[in-house]
Amino acid sequence: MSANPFAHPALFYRTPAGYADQLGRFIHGALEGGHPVAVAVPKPNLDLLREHVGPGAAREVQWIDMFEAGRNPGRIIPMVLLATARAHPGRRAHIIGEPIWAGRTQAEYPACAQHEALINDAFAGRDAIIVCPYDESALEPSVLADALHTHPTLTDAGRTWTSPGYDVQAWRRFNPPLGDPPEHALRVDVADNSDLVLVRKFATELYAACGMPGELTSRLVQAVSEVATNTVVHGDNGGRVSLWFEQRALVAQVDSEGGMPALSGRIPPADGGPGYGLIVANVLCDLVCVHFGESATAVRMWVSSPP
Amino acid sequence: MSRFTAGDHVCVAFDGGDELLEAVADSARCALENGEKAVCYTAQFLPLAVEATLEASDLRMRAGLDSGQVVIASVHDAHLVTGQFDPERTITAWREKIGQARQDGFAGIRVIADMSWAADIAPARVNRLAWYEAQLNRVFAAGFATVLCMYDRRLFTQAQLNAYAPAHTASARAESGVLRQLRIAHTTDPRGLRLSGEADLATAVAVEAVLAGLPEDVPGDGPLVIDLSGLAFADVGTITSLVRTARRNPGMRFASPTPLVGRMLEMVGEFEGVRVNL
Repeated sequence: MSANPFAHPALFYRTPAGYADQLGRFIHGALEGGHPVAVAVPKPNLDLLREHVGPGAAREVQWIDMFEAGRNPGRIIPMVLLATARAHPGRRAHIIGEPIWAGRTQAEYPACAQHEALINDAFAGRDAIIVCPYDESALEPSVLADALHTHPTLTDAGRTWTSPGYDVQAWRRFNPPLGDPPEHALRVDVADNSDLVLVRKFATELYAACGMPGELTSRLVQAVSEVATNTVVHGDNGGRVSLWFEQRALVAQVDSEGGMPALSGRIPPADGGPGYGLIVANVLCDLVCVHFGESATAVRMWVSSPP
Repeated sequence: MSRFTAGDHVCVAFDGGDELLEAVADSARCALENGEKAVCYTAQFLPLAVEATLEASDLRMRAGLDSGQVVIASVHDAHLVTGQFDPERTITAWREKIGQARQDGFAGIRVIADMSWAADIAPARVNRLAWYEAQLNRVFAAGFATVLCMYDRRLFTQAQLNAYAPAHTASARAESGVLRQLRIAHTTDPRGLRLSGEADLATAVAVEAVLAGLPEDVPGDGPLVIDLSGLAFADVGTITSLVRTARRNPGMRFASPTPLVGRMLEMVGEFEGVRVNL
């Protein structure tokens, strides 16, 4: 255990002042140690911290609005956390990542908790520290309890101790079945590579009929085509695509036989290999929920118009 | 048939001889109307039988056959010249035949290739045929030939078709038309390649072969430009092939991608550590 240089503590805070004080200390300490620092938190907290650490330190830090970058929690590992680590090879990246806030929807939350759990797998053995602040004053008690499962340690930015609830396989707790698409969804079976063009054709037509902007449609069409492609490449029996429309959102689900590694879509493939498909879906969609089954995988994707 | 144009290399799955003969007649008619040469390499039928069907279908065919504008030949004159399948030699023969048709003043050449001869090739040679089909795209990207490779579904397994289809730029089912289509064309000014239509897993092998043929397939020494203005869709596999081509050819530029294709190129470029010039 002690050989793992990766640290992933949760930090519980109650007030803006406490937040600024504790995380300000973390930032200053990291900068004094000569480490690269990235802060990916919701905009109000971002502004609060930037103000608190002062202009000198603020220039040294990479600031990322998590409302934007982490809207789909599935894209945080590949596009924020690993990107930061990659930008500073050979150095211990110090990252503050706050993916869970009070406004997260019921659909988003399991994906957020799954993301927190998968950080442990994605960063195992990597030289980095990711501190995840949780707002005790605003989040549900069950959410705070989940954070104990997904974080090996807890910290107050001074002291760090073992989390009493840590579960090395925590992602399995946040892997709920997605349920069936609605009755009225348009279904397209994907058996081989010649079906992919039909998936895109039907999706484009359906979403255009919903009157959504073309930019949203093209993003989801790309995402669903990539995930459907995976079912042809990796699945034994292809898959089924379901397409529908919810309030202000275009939705697609891809069900396929065969399991999928839980880190799919989180870590870019090693050079030469395939494996960008689900990363593309994570980047282009506003939410991606994945159910990893023993012998089946379901991926549901949303692209929504701004509120 | 008329929807296919120079540069197209189509994998057509068909059921039975009638559909094959219909495709030959269609192709020949189209060629006669457009001043193109029509060539059919037949395997299931004797050339004389095909000629007879053509004559019955259209009064102009006899004249076309007599003048040499329409040629019905045995597959032994194309793919099996030496009695067995020799991909390199066959590809050279394609270049020569296309060059000859140009020299003879035709506006293009339309080819129907009955692939039935390949149905019983040894499993070990399946990859060889897929390689051959993929390499042909480098020849056809010059934009003079329209080639339909006819695969009889009674003779080929779905697994075989899945292996061969992505080596073409388009796939069609004889009964229901084109399923999807990509166009790949070499360009001379600027020097490079133009991709248009949709590129996905079903065209991956063809795209990869043509990209791997750069820069030697396009004469000159100016910087390469890949014109993506007509590329409506590219899956991330295609994007990755493009990015890796850029890595092999420093200075290469991608021109006019859609916003989404441009975004994908930049994203994969960053993952692959390749500077992408848009």
